[in-house]
Amino acid sequence: MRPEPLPEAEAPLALRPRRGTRRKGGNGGGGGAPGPQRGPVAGPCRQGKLRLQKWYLATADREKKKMVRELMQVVLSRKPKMCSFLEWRDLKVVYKRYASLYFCCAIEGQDNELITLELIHRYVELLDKYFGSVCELDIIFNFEKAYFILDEFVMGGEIQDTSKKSVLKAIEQADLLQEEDESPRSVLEEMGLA
Amino acid sequence: MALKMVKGSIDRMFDKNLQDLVRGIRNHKEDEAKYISQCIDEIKQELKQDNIAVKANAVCKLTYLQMLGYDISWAAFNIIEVMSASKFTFKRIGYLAASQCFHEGTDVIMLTTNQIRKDLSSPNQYDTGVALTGLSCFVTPDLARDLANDIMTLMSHTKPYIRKKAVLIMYKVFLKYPESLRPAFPRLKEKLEDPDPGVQSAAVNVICELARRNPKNYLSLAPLFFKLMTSSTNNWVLIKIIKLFGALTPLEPRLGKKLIEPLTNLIHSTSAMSLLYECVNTVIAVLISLSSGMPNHSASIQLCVQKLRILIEDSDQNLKYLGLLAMSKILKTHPKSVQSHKDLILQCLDDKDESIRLRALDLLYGMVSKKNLMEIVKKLMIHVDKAEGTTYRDELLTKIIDICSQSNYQYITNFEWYISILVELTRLEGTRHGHLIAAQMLDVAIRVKAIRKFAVSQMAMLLDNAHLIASNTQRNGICEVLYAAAWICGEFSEHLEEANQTLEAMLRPKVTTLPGHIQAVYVQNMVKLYASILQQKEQSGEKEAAQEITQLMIERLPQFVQSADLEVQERASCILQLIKYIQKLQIKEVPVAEEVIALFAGELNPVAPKAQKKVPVPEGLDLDAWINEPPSDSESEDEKPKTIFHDEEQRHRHRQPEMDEEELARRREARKQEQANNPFYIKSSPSPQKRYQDTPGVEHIPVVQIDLSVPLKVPGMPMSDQYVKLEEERRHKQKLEKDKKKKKQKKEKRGKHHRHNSLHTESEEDIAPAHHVDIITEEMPENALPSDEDDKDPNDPYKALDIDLDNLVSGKPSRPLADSEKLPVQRHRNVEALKSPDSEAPPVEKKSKKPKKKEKKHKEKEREKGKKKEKEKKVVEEEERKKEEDLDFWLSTAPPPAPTTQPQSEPEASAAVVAEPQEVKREEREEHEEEEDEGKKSSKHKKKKHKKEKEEKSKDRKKSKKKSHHSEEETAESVQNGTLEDEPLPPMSSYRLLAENPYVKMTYDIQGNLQNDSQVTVSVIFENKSTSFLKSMELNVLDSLNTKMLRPEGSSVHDGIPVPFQLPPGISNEAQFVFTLQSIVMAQKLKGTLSFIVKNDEGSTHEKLDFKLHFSCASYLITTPCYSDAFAKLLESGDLHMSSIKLDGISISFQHLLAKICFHHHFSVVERVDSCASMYSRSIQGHHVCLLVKKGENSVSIDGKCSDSTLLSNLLDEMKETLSKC
Repeated sequence: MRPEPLPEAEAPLALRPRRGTRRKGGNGGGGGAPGPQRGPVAGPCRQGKLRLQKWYLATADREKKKMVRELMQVVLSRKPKMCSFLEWRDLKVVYKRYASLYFCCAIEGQDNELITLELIHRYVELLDKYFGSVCELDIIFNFEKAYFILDEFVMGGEIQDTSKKSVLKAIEQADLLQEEDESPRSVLEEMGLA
Repeated sequence: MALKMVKGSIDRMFDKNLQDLVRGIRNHKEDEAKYISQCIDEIKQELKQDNIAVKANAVCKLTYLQMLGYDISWAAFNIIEVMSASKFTFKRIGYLAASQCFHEGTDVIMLTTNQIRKDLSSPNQYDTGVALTGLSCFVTPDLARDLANDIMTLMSHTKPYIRKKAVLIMYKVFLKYPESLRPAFPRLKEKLEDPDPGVQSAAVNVICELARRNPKNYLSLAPLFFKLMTSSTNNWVLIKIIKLFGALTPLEPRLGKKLIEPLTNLIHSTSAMSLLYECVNTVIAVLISLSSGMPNHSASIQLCVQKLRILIEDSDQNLKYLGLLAMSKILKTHPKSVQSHKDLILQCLDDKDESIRLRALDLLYGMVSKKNLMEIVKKLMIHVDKAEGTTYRDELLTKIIDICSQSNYQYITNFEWYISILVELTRLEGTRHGHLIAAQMLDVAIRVKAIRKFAVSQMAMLLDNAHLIASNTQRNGICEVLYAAAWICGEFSEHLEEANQTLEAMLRPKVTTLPGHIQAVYVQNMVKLYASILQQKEQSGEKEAAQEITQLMIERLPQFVQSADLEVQERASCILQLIKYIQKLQIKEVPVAEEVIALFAGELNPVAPKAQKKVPVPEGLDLDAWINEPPSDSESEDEKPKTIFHDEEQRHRHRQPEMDEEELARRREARKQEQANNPFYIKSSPSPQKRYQDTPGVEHIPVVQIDLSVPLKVPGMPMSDQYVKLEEERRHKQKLEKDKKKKKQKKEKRGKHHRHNSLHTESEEDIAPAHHVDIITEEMPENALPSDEDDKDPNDPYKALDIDLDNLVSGKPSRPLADSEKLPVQRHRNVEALKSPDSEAPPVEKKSKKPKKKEKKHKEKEREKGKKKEKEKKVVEEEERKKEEDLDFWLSTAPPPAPTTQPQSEPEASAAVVAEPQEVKREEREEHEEEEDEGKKSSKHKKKKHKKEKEEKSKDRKKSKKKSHHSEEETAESVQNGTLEDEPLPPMSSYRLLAENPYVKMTYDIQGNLQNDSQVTVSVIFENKSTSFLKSMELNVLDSLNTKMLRPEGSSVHDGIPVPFQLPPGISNEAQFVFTLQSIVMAQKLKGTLSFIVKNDEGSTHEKLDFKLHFSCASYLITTPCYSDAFAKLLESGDLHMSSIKLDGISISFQHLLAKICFHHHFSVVERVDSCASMYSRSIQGHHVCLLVKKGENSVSIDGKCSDSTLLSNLLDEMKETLSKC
């Protein structure tokens, strides 16, 4: 699989369960772009703004931009009732819309579309659990968290852990470490504010 | 210092944080660019500060801006700074930024190597995790090479969390640094059976990805994966494995047979659509590769088609789409099964979703038959009319043409109908595919001789209405059909009824607005037309009319002479002169028609597109040799015009000059010679007339009277429908006739109409075409070369990974890892290296291998290489055979999976292997014989085993015997080489219990380091056993004179060392502490305390746990390889003190015993002969320790020699203790 984009909107992302699907991270309105062997990107919606992007193949910036732009265009031009797959360049793009955010993932010809859709859905579920009923603003203002979650879930384009629980656990613990790190500083900050 | 920090923090409060930036950008929608450039300036300032928190904040903001599309590559160095921050918070941000913006072109990336290595070996698993994640995004060949060994070590980390990530990233490493594949593969394979499901699935992922690219190297893993497939319940893993099998089956068809059953079971049972879809796809692939020989072959296909039908009928668009996609794969090999679902597919053409319609179109292509072609195309034509958006309409158009023209117009029974369809298609506005339609018209008109008359009449109509076509599509598109129309009218002008009118249409001034290449064809063909009119008029004696037409040409041609297009201009002026000359002759009343028509005499045959390529180069002809002197460089190459028929037209006309008989005969001979080698020569095909006679009676005469009143000019009236009706009638008639004839035949019994027989026997499907389709097979030169093989893409990144792994995999090193293949290891001294992954190495048996690799000296290497080579030679051949037999064996067994999981062994040549292949054969033949044989060689233990198994069924027996045999022999061998890697030992752990209470459990392991002769590293695993949170853990020991804990500078001996993490409930983590020591000849014990805070809902309490840290003498030893000659010298030197012990009642096998000594006491085996072995180790302070271990019936004696007698006796005591536990 590859990259994918996800969309944005200020409405909460509605989660509809689905039969067999999976995703590679990313969200935002618009498109994500691929690198060979799976890398996702995510971008937001109507305005076509990218909210997250993740590439599982190192790609030069210019090429990334071009692909994102193209992909956004393709994905945004899809009508609501259309299926979630499309062929693009030599890749397959799997996308799904949650509220105003499109999550896209570019995969290779032989990859399984349905499991990619499931991957996307899982990622959104993870975001939802982590932020508690996630909305686009959560992703905008905490974009680094969204990346951290994605990184715990997918690595190098392959799913790392199929258990939502263990992904969330890893994130929580890493966050804990971080909080411990941060605590002295926040005291200082408070002082400063006072 | 502190003041500076405070100042930095206060400064920071005035900085924007990420939230501010995001908010700011949202508030400055109008002047976003300006606002952002302002922000970037601020960020640049922030990056200049010393405070790492400020920098991290800046980098975080940059990461956000990067996503918005701003270039942040200038900050790459700052990102690296943040990556190397010690705090996890910042490190995380740094790595995130790096993973988002680094790529192979980032030059500072090489500066990260050491930092990443440091993070990889960090005691904090999240540091390691974050480094691995980052690395997976930007790994370069250099990084891969430098870090491969570190990552490989992490694959055996104690934490599944790290193992999982390390395994996944290995794939990226392989891609960038293919040399790492062989050394790393055995361990990777081992991870397929990791106890942690996450790690297991990661390993499956990686191996499946590898295998999909180069399946043949992984064929031998099939049994293992088969076992996984039948036992796993994780759909994600199953999908990967099934995909892998899909890739393997084409290479090993027998595998396919084995797979069908479990796959069909899955199809029946699974509720996950993704898995179902994968299974169906793989079954299809398998069946395709099997092609035949499957008993319930069609049943499987039926099952797939049924399931797919369910998908297609589903209301979920996604399933519908995928169902159609998979259906098209079946279609290729089993068209009949799919054709029965035509209704469903046609329904999908009405779907709202364009992508689904397109898929359905693809399917239709394969579903047409003579019977339904017209119906399907009619339906498609309706869609063409309805279609909005040119893309889909163009797609429809190409599909219609594809469908009709496939396999040489196989399904077209009525070409008039087809021509009318093409003509109807010309009404499409703005299509890009005018040239496609044109090519079809030309092709049909040339190849289907009987249709020419009709085609010409239609084309004349088109030319007449050229204004409609040309005005519609100024830009590109449909006017291309005029090219075809003009050419057809010209070339086959003898069929034209109103030639005058057509000529006039071609001479209209409007024509000059057409593209140049079309005009050129116009000009050329109006002469043809002119010639045939001339002839016609002359024959009927209408001289006036003939002159009139000449006059018309002379009047109108100048408009082409003025054309800006060179081609048009040149042809026009040529022709104009020619016609002026004709006019002169006409005035003199000389009959000219014959000569003019001779310009275009000759039959035209199609030539296969590849014909030219296929001409074999005659012997003795050097195409590269210069015929004349090479031209000067300045000469430019002439470019050829790209018109379609241009070349052929010029070449294939053969004019026949008048010559006397003799001359003719001579020339004919010469020509024949020439023709044999002339690729352009078109051999005359049997004349069409002749062919018609061969075809069944009525058929060669178009039954349908060409109704020229067909209202071509009225757009919107689908005239092709008429032909559909007519065709139906015709078929009906035909059928009746046939029936009649049949009856007749029955009556006559021996009818005269033998040639009709074939018709009658054919099924309904084979409706005789209305015309004999004189589909001339395209001509190919004689001795055409076989088709060109397609080259593989040389740029395929996966090609580099096409590495033979079998030898590694089956554990039989026919090609052992060469020294050059070993992963590069960091060699220089480095304080960090103390804590390097080595010390965390797995509690499992593989420690001895690593140090060996690292410290091997050149001499030794070479010597070893030599040895290996010798053995290798012997082994290679038999090895290959063995391997094959194994897989064969597995494949030939009956369905229930019989995974012969072969033990892997360190790829070193083993002498025992040589005996194997013969044995396997024997096993299959004579079991008794074999047993005796083996009995001689093997230990009692084994014999017993065999006897037991004897009672089992013969098949199983064979298998397991083979297995046990392998493992034992190999083990012995690997021990001999000082490596224990794949021994089937009970899992051993070097971690011993340190202390335990209800809250926490501590286990520890001590490892020496060769690089520092007075330090050892103690790795302690803390496990939180309670349901509370443990924090502020601090470890302290009471130093002795000899042994002291290494504390940070400035702290007193009474200060504890904080454990660098907290423990949530149920979690364990590892920390490392360094101790310095002076003497190492005695074991030591240190008292210590762990203090920590237990935090739960009720509050927090302070707790303590006391422990005693035991430094055994063995922990000062480092496994060091030694070769027998060096060992012998050492013993001879006489500098060593000697001591020995003897133990009774030892029942474990010798190799287990050796393994234990190797593992727990850090020895390596130097040599082993029967039940006697010499072993060697070295202390961190350089003491040599040599052992001679002998095993008697029930006892073991160990003689030791060491440079220090105290150390030796202590070591022997420890060994005694270890062994007595067995």
